[in-house]
Formats: sequence, structure tokens, C-alpha cells
Amino acid sequence: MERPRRWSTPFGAEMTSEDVEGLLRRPDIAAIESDKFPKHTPLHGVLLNDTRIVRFRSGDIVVREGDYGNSAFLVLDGSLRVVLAPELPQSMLGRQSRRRKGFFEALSQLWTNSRVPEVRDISHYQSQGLRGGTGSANARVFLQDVPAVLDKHRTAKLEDGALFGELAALGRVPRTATIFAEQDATLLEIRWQGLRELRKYDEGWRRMIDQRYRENALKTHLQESVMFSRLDEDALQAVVDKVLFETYGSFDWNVAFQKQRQSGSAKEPGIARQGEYPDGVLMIRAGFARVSVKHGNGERTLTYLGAGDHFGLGELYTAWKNPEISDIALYTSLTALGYVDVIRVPAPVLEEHVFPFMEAPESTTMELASTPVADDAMMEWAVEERFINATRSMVIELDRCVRCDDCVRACASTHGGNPRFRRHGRTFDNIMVANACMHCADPVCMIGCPTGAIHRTVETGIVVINDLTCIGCATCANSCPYNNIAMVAIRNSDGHTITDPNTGKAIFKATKCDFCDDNPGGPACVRACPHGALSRVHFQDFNPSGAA
Amino acid sequence: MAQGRSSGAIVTFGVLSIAVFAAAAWASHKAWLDLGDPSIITGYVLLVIMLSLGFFNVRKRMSMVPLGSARFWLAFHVAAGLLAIAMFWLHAGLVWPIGLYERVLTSLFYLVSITGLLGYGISRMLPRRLAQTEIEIIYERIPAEIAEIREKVEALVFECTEKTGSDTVAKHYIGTLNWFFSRPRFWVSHVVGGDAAGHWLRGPGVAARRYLNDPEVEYFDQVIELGELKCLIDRHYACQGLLKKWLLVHVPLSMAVIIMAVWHFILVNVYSL
Amino acid sequence: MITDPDRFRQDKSPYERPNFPFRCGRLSFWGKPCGRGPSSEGSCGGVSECSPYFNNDRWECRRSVRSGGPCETGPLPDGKCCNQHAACKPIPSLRNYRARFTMLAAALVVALIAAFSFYGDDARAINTVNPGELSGAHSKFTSAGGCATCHEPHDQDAATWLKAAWSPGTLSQSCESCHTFDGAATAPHNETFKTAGGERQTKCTMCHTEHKGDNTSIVKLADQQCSACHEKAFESFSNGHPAFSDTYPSRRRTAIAFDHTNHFGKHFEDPRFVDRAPKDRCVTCHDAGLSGRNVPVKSFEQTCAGCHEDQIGGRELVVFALPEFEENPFDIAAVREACGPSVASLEQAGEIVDTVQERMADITEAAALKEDLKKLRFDLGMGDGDAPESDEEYESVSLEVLPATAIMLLGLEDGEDMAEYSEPVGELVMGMVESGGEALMEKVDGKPGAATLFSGLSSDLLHQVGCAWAANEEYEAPAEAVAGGWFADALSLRYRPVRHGDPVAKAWVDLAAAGGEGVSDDMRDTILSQSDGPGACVKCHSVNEVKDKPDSLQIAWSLGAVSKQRHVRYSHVPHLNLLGLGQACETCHKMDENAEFAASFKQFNPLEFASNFKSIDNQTCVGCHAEGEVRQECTLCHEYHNGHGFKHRMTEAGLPADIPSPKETGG
Repeated sequence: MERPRRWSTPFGAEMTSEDVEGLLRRPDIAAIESDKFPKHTPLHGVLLNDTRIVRFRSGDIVVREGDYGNSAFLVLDGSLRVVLAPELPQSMLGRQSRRRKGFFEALSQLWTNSRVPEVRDISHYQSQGLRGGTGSANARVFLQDVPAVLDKHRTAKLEDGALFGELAALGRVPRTATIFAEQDATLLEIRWQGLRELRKYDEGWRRMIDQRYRENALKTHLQESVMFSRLDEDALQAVVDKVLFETYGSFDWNVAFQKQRQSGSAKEPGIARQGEYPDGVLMIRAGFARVSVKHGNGERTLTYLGAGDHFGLGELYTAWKNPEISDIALYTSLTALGYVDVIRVPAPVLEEHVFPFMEAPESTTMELASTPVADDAMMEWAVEERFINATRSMVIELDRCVRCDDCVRACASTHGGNPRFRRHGRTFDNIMVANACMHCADPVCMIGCPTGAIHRTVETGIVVINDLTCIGCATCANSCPYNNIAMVAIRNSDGHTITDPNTGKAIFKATKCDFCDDNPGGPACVRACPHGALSRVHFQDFNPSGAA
Repeated sequence: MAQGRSSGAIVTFGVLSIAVFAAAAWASHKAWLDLGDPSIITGYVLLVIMLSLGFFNVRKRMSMVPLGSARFWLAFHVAAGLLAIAMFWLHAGLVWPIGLYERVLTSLFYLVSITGLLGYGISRMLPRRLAQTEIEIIYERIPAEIAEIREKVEALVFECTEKTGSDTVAKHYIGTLNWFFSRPRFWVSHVVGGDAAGHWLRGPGVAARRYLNDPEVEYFDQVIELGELKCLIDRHYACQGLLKKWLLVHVPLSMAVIIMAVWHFILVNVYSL
Repeated sequence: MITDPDRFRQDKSPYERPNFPFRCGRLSFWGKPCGRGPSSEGSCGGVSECSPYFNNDRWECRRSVRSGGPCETGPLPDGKCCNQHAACKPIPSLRNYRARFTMLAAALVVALIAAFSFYGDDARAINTVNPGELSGAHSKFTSAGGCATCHEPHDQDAATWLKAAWSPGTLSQSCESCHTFDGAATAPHNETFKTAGGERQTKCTMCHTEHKGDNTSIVKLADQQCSACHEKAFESFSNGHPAFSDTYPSRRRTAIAFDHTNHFGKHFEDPRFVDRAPKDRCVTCHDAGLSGRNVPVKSFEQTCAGCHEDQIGGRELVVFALPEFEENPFDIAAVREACGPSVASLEQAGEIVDTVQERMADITEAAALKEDLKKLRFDLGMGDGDAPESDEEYESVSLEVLPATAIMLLGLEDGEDMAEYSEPVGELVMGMVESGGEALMEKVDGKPGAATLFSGLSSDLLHQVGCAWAANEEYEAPAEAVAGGWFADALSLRYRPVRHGDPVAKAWVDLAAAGGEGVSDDMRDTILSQSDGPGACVKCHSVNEVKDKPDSLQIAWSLGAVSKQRHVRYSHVPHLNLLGLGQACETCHKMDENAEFAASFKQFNPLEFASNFKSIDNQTCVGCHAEGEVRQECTLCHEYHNGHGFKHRMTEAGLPADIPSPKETGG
């Protein structure tokens, strides 16, 4: 077979050269200087393979606030509405309207739970506004009464030529607003790879994208950092104007990760290398990056950085304080674990606005490097397995676990008789990270859900799946690098598998741990463990009793 | 961290148990001094303790509602269980009573206590041994796992015979190894932490190796390697099984004890009070 | 497989469902479970791997991805799955077994309880409900009545039986069907105390617990438990027990006024009697062999008699004496008729015969002769009509006065007035003549000891005495000496006590002491006089007041008047066994030389006394009964119950199955 290449799987299968020609006739596309594109990625190819034309009917939701997305949209025709305030109710977005059960309601599960696995009452599925067919990526949630929405919510109109969704696609941050089609609309959906190419090779797009980023998000983001929190408005603006944006790694890193896991070889894109000259501080905006030093013939992980962390500050500060040292160099290397979105703050900016007002940063690098490697083995493993992504991973201490399955039974008892995790998983020393949803900081499962059935709850940030809008496409289950989402064939109360009458195929639903979000008293699994072996942990704070 | 919390709970409940025991002993002594029946107080306390011990099981069924962490319940169960034994002696005044019914009740109570103590012991001990196998398997999946290993072994043996044209390995498999691979073996040895399985594998298990040529040895060593894997799985089967099966004794006996205690309670009220 | 790095993949590893009660039956053969799994009610989930779907004129395989996806062969032409396998018999999960065992255990226990409790015969029912063997005594007589002998609800119907669970127990009442006490069974100590404030009802089961085995005592009361009611708590007998009373162990004077000090100090030292002095001191007189709460004194014969026997005889009681009369109170004729010719009259008759013979010579004196003959006939008892006129003036043979006893017998005011007593005395003497003892018995009818008062008095004697006295003659007693008992001398009827403890003498003394109607002070003084007469008894036997009868007195005839201390018990036996006889007594009983012993017997209140012995105080006992030495628990000396007894004859034969209820027996 042919070696798979960048565009062997086009974004839209129905995209034709005619379509591309049509696009190129549009003034906003025509403005792109196609000669700036390298030979191996011509603009035509980008448009053909990395974009697709999608049509939305009146009321269709295009993007939802809070969703993670890997694509941006350009309005070709029709009009859309951005919901400004108040936000649309969750149920309208095809999400579960979460309500915590009362004590007795929860208790009633004692007798209402079915003995047949995965029983669903299919009559519930009728009420949800869903169209576009089940099992296909074209399924959509639509607003049933657009005039009423317009009446009750303040909205802004998006028309021909408007671009939206690029922040989420490039910066791996949740969508900031819900946008729906007011009238039937045609949109050009550009996946993140294409968007990256466009930004990379076209000056106009880069300026536009960067400009919008600087305007909309950067200032707030910088203000949240301790480094810049003291700056006044003008100084901050000066910094904002001068910082650079960089992204590393693949947006859908999970695919690469899963492949790499099977092949065993790891290739992490380098962001900065030990011994190199630091030209600026790197601030992580999204994703995770590994900080490592050379150790023997390998790289030893000292720590990892997540959103909000920065890299290289110590070295630059030392250089600024001691101008006599000429050969300033980075103590450690930084590599991207999956997808990393980085803001580079150039050294002169820091020297002008930051260093004069700050105390010497504490450097823990030496301290970290001085411990025996055995002490770090656990962290090294957690980084290797990407468990650092976890905010609520299920960790079982195997030297205390009696394998009684009380946790699984407790889980089943709170989920209609069905467990929502599997009590197995990767182990290290006496630790097992069970196959239960970790509620990732960077939830790749949410990318690509056609109906937004998988989403984060507004109140707790827990990742949940709305069973009513889940179409069983398994996108999330396949995306999850930890195998924590399971597809189940649903049954009726007689125990018969429910099949699609048109195809005879079983209807699946994605299921996973919802952290007992609608149950009183928090996760039942933790409460049910009689030996205190099971805990749900944020890996950054995790310090198991078993491992040193 | 978790260790600290749960041993804290044990200490708390332990101290509480001692306090309850002291209070009950004091109250019953007080009743005795007052020419009352000292065993009424201790009896009621014991009945309440027994019922609350039994409620541990109910708590496990009602894990959908927050009834306190099972960890605390277990700590309570252990402390209250020990308290129950002490309270039982305080109540009966004897280690071995006189009446037939009381003797049956006492025997059952002792059995429940002993199984409980043993169960707690193995619950503390066996998980460590399991963790040290470096493999982890769900108990219910063990038969399938063994079946898969067996299939693999048989495929290897078959292939060996086919490729090398010699049936030495096959004969050895049929004659000796099949016994080992057919189902979990060396249960007792695994439970007590012995290595009879490994010993067997290194002895009778590899006995045919000296009669093999190099290509055969290659297959054979793979078979033995799978055998070693199966030892670990057998260990899981034995230890996990014991961790589950002791409850087959403890729970039904507890039920019997509780019913007998309630009947005893009724009898005492009808006949004596 | 466990070595497969991909084994956790969601499409390879479905949810494990430990809450599911069944598992694929293939697992029992150590095989791989099929993709379908058992159904929830425990049957095989299916024998085919998929349900083919009819689409566009052909059947399509619908095997799930987890089972390997669509198979190569595809469905059979008739639409059946090509992969058919035999149905398995799903096996219950371990938890399912556990639940079944638990239900089984519950059912078994309930069934066994039911079987043994309700459907066994009574003997078997006893075995299952019985919390232990009964103590020896109780087990004997419950064999017939079974549990219901004591446990009332046992034989009742189920509803009543169960109702008894929350109604107060009736065990203590059951005890009362056999056990009796001098007071209420549920009163503390079976007593009604004067200070009844705050008293509680007691139950037998407070102290007595049964079913503790054949050889176990059911009587156990610890010292501390006494403090349940006795508020004055103290540590032990040796430490804090209230002091004994000042007079302990005596609460009243002894029955016999035996002055130990006097005897031991004076008489036994006297050279005249020294050979009769008790050789073994105390136990010479006190019978250690019969010792119990007290050590009784041996009989009079074995003790006092050695010196004092002589002092009993000769203490005569003059019961009756013929008083002086002014006129003959007797009907001579009747006396003659009853008595026949007296000696005197026969003499007289002889004289008359002589005179008649003389007169026969001188017939002229026929009238006188006639008179003589008439007289003769009379004397011989053959006369009729009036007695012949005696020319002699009546001269009473007696000049005596009536003794006090006779006055009592005759019911007179006093014995001075001759006119008053003549007639009753005459009647009495005539009665003696005519009916012997009956005449006297009539007189004491209804008096205490009436039967004994004249015991041994022969009617013959009375007749003779009566005839003599009626004839105005002195009674001539037979010549032989009288050793004792009733006898008469010339003009009196007397009783001489034969020996110590003579019943007749006792009866007369008792009568005098008791007083009452007719018993004059004079009579009491006479009889109870210590100087002579039978009153000498009270020289040694104490005379005590009688409760509620201010004029009555009582003689302490019997020895060892044990004071009623119901809740204190003491036994000399172990002490004597331990200390030995003889001098050992004086370890505790120390003579008090200064006691005014004799004086206390001069009055009649037995509680006012001075013992010969010094009182015994706690310290005497504490010498041995103390911490770490001899037992000292409360119940060693204190008896809880007041007069414990039984309603029935407590033998196997004596106790039928139907023990009568307290109501029927009525106590």
C-alpha cells in the first residue's frame, strides 16, 4: 500500500475541485496569495482537503459555548446568530440538564435499577431536537423555535464573510459562544490543519487571526499570569502587541499517541532545548509540555507544565541580573506532550516591563534533578501515559484493594444498574489507574462530537455524555487515548438489543464515568471502597502512599 | 495519605468501642449492684452492635446514597466486631454457655468472629501479594484468560509438531502439561504464599526438555513461559478467590447469628422478663 | 490476553458486571465465555452469535464488533446464523451463591427454631429453649409440669406467648406456688418494716438465677448488692460494719437463773462440793454435740441434779384442807348411805348392842331400847328419815382454815367466813364422797392446764377422805410413807412433786402464774413462794411477763429461749470444730464477775437483765473474719429471708403435676 500522506483522508469527502474553484472566486478567498504557499501544500490542496462546505438549516446549532472544536467556520451564505446574553439553556444545546437527585430519589435506584444491562426507554429519545440521522457526523441539534430564542436572548448577527471558531481550533480552548443558523446557511468549515497552513503562509490571515486573538483573549490571559499582573493598561498593551504565538504537536495528538503506544516509539516535538540560548519566556496557554534534562543517555523528566505555567524565566532573569555572563543557556529542555499552545514573551519585553519589578524567581530545577531517579519513576510514568491530563482519574492502590468489586457495584447502582468504568487499567508499582473517565484538563473526546452530547458541565467542569443526543458514532470513544469511554448496545426492558429498523444494526451509546454528577454525595466508587484503596485524583496533586 | 486516614478511623472507632465497652460494663455492674439483671444492658448493647455490624452489608447495597464512606464503615465493622466479642463475654459471663440453644448461638457467634478476624487478616495480607505479581486481572476473567493461554499453548504444541515433525512436546503436553493448563492449580500453595506451582513447572513441567532439539526447545520454552504466566494468574485466582469466598461463610453465618440472637431476645423477654 | 498491551481498549474489554447474578456457563469448564452472556434470569443468552438482517434480498451478518465483526461465512440461506453453539447452563456468581447461602442459613435457622420450639413434645421443647440445666432441687419437680411449672407463658397459645414478651414477667409469682415466707414474698426480707419509706418491691430473680447447671448454687448475693437497699454502705465486715448491740449475743435473760459467776466462783470452789464441780467446764453442762446457733444445756438430770435434786421433793402443795365448821354441814344420812358405817359408827353400834342387851334385862326401858335400836339401824346405814337427834353439841373436827387453792376451787371471796364456805365445802366433800375426782375436776374446768391439775389423783382416796371428813372425823392415812404424788393427811389433800419437771406441780405453778379469774394474789403468793411449796421452781426458772397480759406471768420452763433474730444467723459448730471444746468457749464468752445477774431475775421483764458474760463485740469476730482470713461476706451471718418454708411436702410423691395455685391452698 501507499504510504499514507498528509491529505490521504480529506476533511470533506464530497469536496470537489469545482467547489474549490467556486471558493476561489469569493473575494475573501481570492485575497489569499496562493504563490506564498509551498509546493507540497498548495492553497488549492488546502481548500480541497482541509475544508468542507457544510449547510445548516434554520435553527441548527453550529457551535456551542463550552465545546472543544478542531475547526473554524467561514460564512459563505446565509446568516447566523451569536448568542450574547443570556446564555441558551443547556437542554436547548442538546446537553443534559443536570439536576442532582434527592436522597430518596437516589435511594429509589435500589429497586428501580434494571437487572438487564443497558436498558433504555426509547420513547425518551423522541423529544430531543435532533436531525441528520443517527450514526452520522451530520447529525445536528437544532433550536425548535428560533423567533422565540431571538426574542428572549440578545444576539449578534454573523453574515457573509465572517470567520469564527478559529480561537478554539488553534488555541485548544473551549468555544466562547453559541452560534446557530438564523436562516439556512452555507459555511466553509476549515479544520485546524488547514487553518494552521493558512495562518502560516498567508500574511493576511495571520494578521487577522493574531489580531483577533490579541484583541479578544490575550490580554485577559496575560493578566492572569503573576508575571504581568502588576502591569498597567498601557504596559500590558505593549506586551500584548509584542508577544508571539506558537503551537506545537498535533491537534489530535491522541491519534498519534495511540499509534505510538502500539509502536512504542515516542517522538515529541521540541519546544526548547537544554543548552540553547533563551530568547524569551514561554507561557503555556493550553496543553502539556515536559521539562527534562539529559540523564545518562536519555532524558529525565523533571516536571511537566500545564496551562498557565511558564518556562525559561529563571535563566532570563539571571542573565538580566548578571550582564557579565555571556553564555546564558537553558538548564532544561521543553517538549510538547501532544498539542501545546505557547505564548512567547521576548526577552526585551520582560527586561523592560517585568524584571525591574519582580523578585528573583525560585528555581527548583536543581532541587528536582538532585533526587534519585527512583523517586521520579512514578511521575515519569504518569507523564508517559499522559495521566497528567487527569483531573479526576481513578487510582486504585493495589496493595490495599481486595478486588471485591464494591466500587463497580456502587457505580452500577448509581447508573441504572450499569457500571460506567472497568476495574482494570495501566499499573505502576502499587498503583492502578483504572479505566474510568479522568475528566481531562484537555478533553480530546469532546472534539468532533457531532451533537455536543459529550460536554463539560457548567458548574463542575465534569465531562458528561447526554444519552439523549448521543448518536453512537463512537467518535469520543475512539478519541479517548485512555480507553475510558465505552460503547454499549442498548436494550429494551425485555433484554433485546435495540436495532435500527433500516439497517438491522444495533444502536450504540457512548458511556463513561460521569463522576456521579447527578448523584448526592459525590462519586459512589470512592465512598464504596471499604479499604480506602480507591481515590479520584488530580494527578498534579497526587502523591500515593505506596510510591515514594 | 489514605492509609493515615483509615487507620485514624480505626483508632477512633477503637477508642469509641473501648468507651462503649467500659460504659456498658459500668452500667451492667451498676445494675448488678442494684439487684437488677446485668445481662439486660449488655444484651441490648450486644444486639444493637450485632445489628449495626449487619448493617455494613446493607450499606454496601445502598451505595447510591451517601451513608458515609465504606472505609469508615469497615473501620467501624472491625472495631465493633471486636467490641461484640468482648461484649459477648461480658453478656454471657462465660466463654461457653450451658443451654443447648445458647451453645448453638455461641458456636455460630464464635465462627462468625473467627471468620471475620481471618477475613480481615487476609484482606490486609493478600492484596500485597497480589500487587507483587505485577499483573492484574479481574477475577471473573480468569477462566477466559486461562482458556486463552491454553489455546495459545495448544497452538504452539500443534505448530511444533507440525514444523519439527516430532511429537515429543505434544506427548509431554498431553501427558503432563495439560493437567496444569486445564484449570487453576496449586490453590493452597498460592494462598499460603508458596511456590509449588513454579516448583512443579521447573520440575515435572520441563522434564521433557532434555529430549528436544533446538527448534523444539524454542517452542517448548514459549510454552513454559506461558506456564509461568499462568502461575501468576493462578495466584490471582487463589488469592482473589479466597478474598471473596471467606464471605461465603461469614455472611450466611452472620445472618444465622442475628436471627438466633433476635429469637434469643424474644425468648428472654417471654420467659424471663 | 494479559500480555496484550491493547487489552484495555473499549472495544475489546466490555464492562464487567459484578452486579449481574449469573455468568456464562462455559466458565465452569475454564473456557471462554460467549459474547452474548446469560440472560438476567439465568438462562443461556443465545445459541447463535448474531441475528442476521434481511437486506436487499439477502441476509447480512450482524455479529458485533466485540465478537469479531461480521463473519466470513455469513448467514445460512434460511437466515440463520452460521455460528451455532450449544446452550450453556449459566453459573451463579459468587455473590449469588452468597445470597443463596444467606437465605438458606436464615431459612434453616427459622425452620429449626420453629421445629424445636413449637412442634416438639415438651421434653424436647425444654431442651431447645432451656438455657441450662436446673439446679438439683428444682429439676426434680419440674419433670411433670415442664417449663410451665415456672414459666407461665410456656403452654399458652402463640399470641399469648408472644404477648408475654412485652408484659412484665411472672416468674416471682411462680416461685410462690411452692415457697412461703413469713411475710410478703415481694417485700424486702419478707418483712414489713416500720420505716417503710422508699422500699422497693423485690423479685426472686433479683438474687436467684436458675438454669446455671445442676451443681451451681442459685443462692448468690454479693456484699455490694446489699447496698442496693442498705444505704449505709461499708466496705466489709472487718471494715466498717456497724457495732453489735451492747448486749450481743444475749437479747434477754436466760430461762434458768443459773449464775455462772456464782457457781464457778463460789460453789464449785467450795470444798464441800468440789468433787461435784464440772470437770470439763462449759461442755459439762452445755451439749456441744447439739450445738447450733446456741449450745443447749443438757438435761436437769445431767446437770443441776447433781447438787439440786433433793430440793425438788418435799415441796408439798396443800390443795385442800377441811376447814372448821360451826355446824355440821353434811347430811348425815346421805353420808351414811354413801359411806356405809364408819368405824366410829360401828363402835357406836357395838356399844348400842351392848346397851340393848343390858336394857333387855330391864324391859321397862323399852322406849329407850327402841330409841337405841333405831340409832343402831342408822349407824349401820339402814336407817331412814332424820338422823337421830344427837344430844352432843356439834364439835368440828377441824380447826383449819381453807387454803388459797381451795378458795379458788370453790370460787369464794375469801376463806374467813365460815357461814359462807360451809355449804360449798360441804358440797365439795360430798362430791368427793359420791363421785371422787370428778368433783374436783369440775371446779377447774376451763382453767389452763385443767387436765393436768389433778392428774394422778385417785377417786378412791377422795372417797375415803370425803367420808372421813363428812363424818367429822380425821382421815386416817395408811401408815406407809408417801413418796410423792397425791396424798391426804388428817384434814388436808396434798400433792408432793415426785421429781424435777413434775407435770402436776408445773400445771399448778403455771395456773398461778397465768393468774386470771379466781386466782387470788394469796394463791399466787402461796404457790410461787420460793421458800416452800412448789414455788421453788421459779427459784431457777425465770418468771416473765406476758406480752399484752399485764397480770399474767409465764414460767420459762424450757431451756434456751432463743431470741428471735430472724436475719442473723450464727452457728457454733464450725467455731467449735475449729477451736476445739472446753476452754475454747471462753475465747468469746468471757464471764463478767461484776454483773448483777441474780438481781435481774427478781423482776419479770426478761429484757432487763445483766448477763453473766460480757457482750461480744465485732472485734471478737474480726479477729478471724477479716480480709484475707476467714470469710466475712454478709450472707455468712445474715439470713435474707424471713421464715422460709414450703407449701407442700417437697418430695417427688408429695408434689403432683398440678401444683395448686396459692389461691386454692390459701396459705
